[in-house]
Amino acid sequence: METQIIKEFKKLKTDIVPDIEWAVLSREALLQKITADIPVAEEVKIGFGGYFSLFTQVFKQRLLEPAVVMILVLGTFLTSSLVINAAFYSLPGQSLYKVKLALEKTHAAMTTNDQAQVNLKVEFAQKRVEELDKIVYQTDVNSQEKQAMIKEVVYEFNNNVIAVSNHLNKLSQAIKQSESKIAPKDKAQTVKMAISVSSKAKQLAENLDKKIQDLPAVDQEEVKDLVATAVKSAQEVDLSAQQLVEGIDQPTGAADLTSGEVKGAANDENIDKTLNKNIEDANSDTEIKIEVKAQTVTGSNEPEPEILK
Amino acid sequence: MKPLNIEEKLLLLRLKKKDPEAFAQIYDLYLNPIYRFIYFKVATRQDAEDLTSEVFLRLWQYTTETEDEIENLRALIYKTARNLVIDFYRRNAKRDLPQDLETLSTVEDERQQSLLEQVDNKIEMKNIEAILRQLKDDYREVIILRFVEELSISEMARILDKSKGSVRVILHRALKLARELIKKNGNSNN
Repeated sequence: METQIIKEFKKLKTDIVPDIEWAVLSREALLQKITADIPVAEEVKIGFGGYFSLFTQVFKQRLLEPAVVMILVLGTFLTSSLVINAAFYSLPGQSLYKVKLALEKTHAAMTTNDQAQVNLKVEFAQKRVEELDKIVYQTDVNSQEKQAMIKEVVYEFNNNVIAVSNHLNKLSQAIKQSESKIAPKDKAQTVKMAISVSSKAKQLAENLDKKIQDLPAVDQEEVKDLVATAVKSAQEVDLSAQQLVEGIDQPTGAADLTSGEVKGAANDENIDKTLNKNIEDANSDTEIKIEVKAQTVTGSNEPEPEILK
Repeated sequence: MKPLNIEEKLLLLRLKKKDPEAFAQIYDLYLNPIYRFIYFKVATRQDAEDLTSEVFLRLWQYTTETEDEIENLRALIYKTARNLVIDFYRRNAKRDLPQDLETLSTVEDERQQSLLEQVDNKIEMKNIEAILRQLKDDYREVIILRFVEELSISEMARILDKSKGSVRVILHRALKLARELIKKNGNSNN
């Protein structure tokens, strides 16, 4: 019924019209009246300013239309996704590499948990090693470009591992200051994380060293010192991680983990295996590590290596 | 006939520059819709014609004098028409009619009476017109703007100075009432 009523209403459009004679007369009368106000009848020109204001008005109106806003939002989202995706595969020297690093920094800044930050930064260091791998086997760049790229990637690697080392030292100090207040579950998780980081740091140092061996002798010579510093930083991370393990009341943490009292802390089977192995190593090698520690400064206030100078 | 938005803007730009040609084009474009809009608000054809002419004259005066930006020409014309009708009723009320605007708008006028008396081949149209005239002004206005002039809800909201939501609500109520009146009229005819 409603459609029928609307149809009837629409019919009024053709049925209700003004009288034609009146319409013509009124038009003439109105035109006469308004032209009487205009001194000289001239052709009206709109000009550039007029067209510009017309364009801005239409654009403003269109811009505020929901469909246009939707398209703009989608476009921005799609473009940023593409940029992020492209940045993910970028290498040093490429414009999107800075975006990649900035995204990593943002990711790290948004992570509030100390342990999660350590893991994240270790992950970033792993990414640097992967990038180094790609650079070493790149054939479309000359030797100088390659060296510059290696320097940049090693510099970033070094930054990542120093940040990890600092975090570990901070954690270690915090644990020393309030060990009695820390729950056994948290202690166990910290031990687990430190052991995982230690093992990864060892591997990172080894990988970094190994990758460089594949470079031509000239390039190797050029980046040798930088790589050595970076490898040393990675080894220091390993050491800091081990210090952290030692700083925690190990038997409790280890017992908690190995006996399975802490649910959810031993989900990762590989880490558990490493944990058991490292706890044994830690107990037997304590003396050796203390000696190494004495030789190496790993404090959080340590100045950054002048790697790119 | 609905002009393109950009065409409308161009006309408005020329109108602001006192172009009689643009004024004539606007008159041709909007004469019928504005006449219809006023026709359902006043009692006689004579009043509808006088007020329609007045709308265009006011439009010329306003656009050529104002410094303000006019966003929508169509909305401006309808608003001018609406205000003129309100002024018209105020003037008449002061002179000899003590009734308020709403009562006036729902009163069946002399023309309507004569239309109802005529039984010819346009019986259906007249019926719907009579139904429209039985509605109160707010309801009649939204029905005309929406279904006769086919304006969008946003344009209607701008003309009526209401939110889109309340325009929808009024439209829904108006249709409901029109349906009831048609039913009632149908029953009484039978």
